[in-house]
Amino acid sequence: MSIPNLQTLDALTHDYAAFQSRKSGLATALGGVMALLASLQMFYPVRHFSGSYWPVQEILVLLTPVLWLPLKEWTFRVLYRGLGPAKALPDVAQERAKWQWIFVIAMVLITFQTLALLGFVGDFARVLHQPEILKQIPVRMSSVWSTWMWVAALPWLYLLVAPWWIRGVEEARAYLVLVGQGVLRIAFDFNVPGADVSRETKQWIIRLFLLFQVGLLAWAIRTIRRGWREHREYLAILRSLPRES
Amino acid sequence: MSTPDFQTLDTLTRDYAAFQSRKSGLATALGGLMALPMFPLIKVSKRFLSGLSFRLFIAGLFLMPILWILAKAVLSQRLYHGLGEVKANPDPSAEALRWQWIFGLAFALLAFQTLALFGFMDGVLGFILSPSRLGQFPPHLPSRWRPWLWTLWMPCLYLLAAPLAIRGIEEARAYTVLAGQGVILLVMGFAWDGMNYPSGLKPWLTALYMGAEGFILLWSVLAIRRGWLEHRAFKHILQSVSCGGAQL
Repeated sequence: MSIPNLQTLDALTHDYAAFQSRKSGLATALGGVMALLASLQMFYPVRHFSGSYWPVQEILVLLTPVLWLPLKEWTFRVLYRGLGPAKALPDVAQERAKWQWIFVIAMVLITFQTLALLGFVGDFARVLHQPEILKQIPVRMSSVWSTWMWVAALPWLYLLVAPWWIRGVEEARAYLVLVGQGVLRIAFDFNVPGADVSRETKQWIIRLFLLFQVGLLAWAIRTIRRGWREHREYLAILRSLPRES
Repeated sequence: MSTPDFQTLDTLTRDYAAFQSRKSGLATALGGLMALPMFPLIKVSKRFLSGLSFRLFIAGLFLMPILWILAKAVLSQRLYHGLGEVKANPDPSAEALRWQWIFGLAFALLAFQTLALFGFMDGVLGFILSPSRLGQFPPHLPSRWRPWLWTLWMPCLYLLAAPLAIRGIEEARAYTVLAGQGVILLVMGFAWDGMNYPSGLKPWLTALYMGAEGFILLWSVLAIRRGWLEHRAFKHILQSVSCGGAQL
């Protein structure tokens, strides 16, 4: 093999190892597709599956971020391990960027939990002060909220699994869009059952929801595009491999 | 200059750069020191302060981690930049450790917010569910919550400032102590009426509080000691430089 060939092989090994350590191509795109499907479910829920409301849909949307992670790993192993496992040299800048995105996810989640806490405390501080309003609160609200309490713990789970499964910046971005979708779903579901909010507040909530939804959709499309681009990068690596004559 | 001299100078430069990038010596010790007197100060302040001055004092206590970041920047600039600005080579393991600490803090703060949400919802829903208990609800409580609402943002702020505060492991420890004190203060100020938890849990919560406080105090003392050791390490670098200079 000539020296230029060795140099090409070195560059290819480098790219292949970097891909294996930090990218996941179509698995990233899959994250975007899952985010799109989750928002589709929000706008058009299948309400009469088997004659009754099917909560499995909601649970699936809430668990989408956590489901994507093992699915991503599996897709990656099937599609991008053709030339065997390789490990890239540590890249401080890439590692830092990845952790910064995980930090952004943590910030989104803690802001959401804080807003939820503030909403509850502020609202109950108002309601508990006026016994006549308190009597109007439907009794079923307590049971509905008690059922949904486990949902409040989901952001905790979203954050806990992130560092173990996310390897690169694009993966972190894809995970953020799924987490955003999950958080939006939690907020939406908490708001619905028996919530005592004015019409004006409700309109604001709907506007905010739509705004976030549009942002998430744009990000999901971008994630699909980036994932596809990564996949093409991988195909280019495969095509560039020197062939034996 | 002989070859061993160059080697010594190389080691010293490396140590100095590593110190500038990841350590803050006496500023770390200051972090531990700032966490120590928080509760005696609250006791004393209740006697001498009232109204707006008391509120400002409490705000100061909550903002202690942020004040420490500012103090750390000033102290580092004054005490540890005597030989000029240098930048250490990127160290992947140190960088990973730094971010793991930030993630740990993020996870702990998020867990705290989630548990607070659970505690609050469980407590209030308990009252709504049983109208007989509703009569036992202290009427003054909702009005007492309102002035404390802004403090619920504190865990968010502590996390937001964490990448600025944490460059190395000792800074991470000192910042965790200060943020931990802020969170305990939040529990004391906001939810210590026993309203959000069944009264049977109160002894357990007291024990938990005492345990957390004991742990934080111990960690503060450690932060002071480690900060002092870092400061001595820096002094040693300076002495080695001046000895090296005298030999040339």
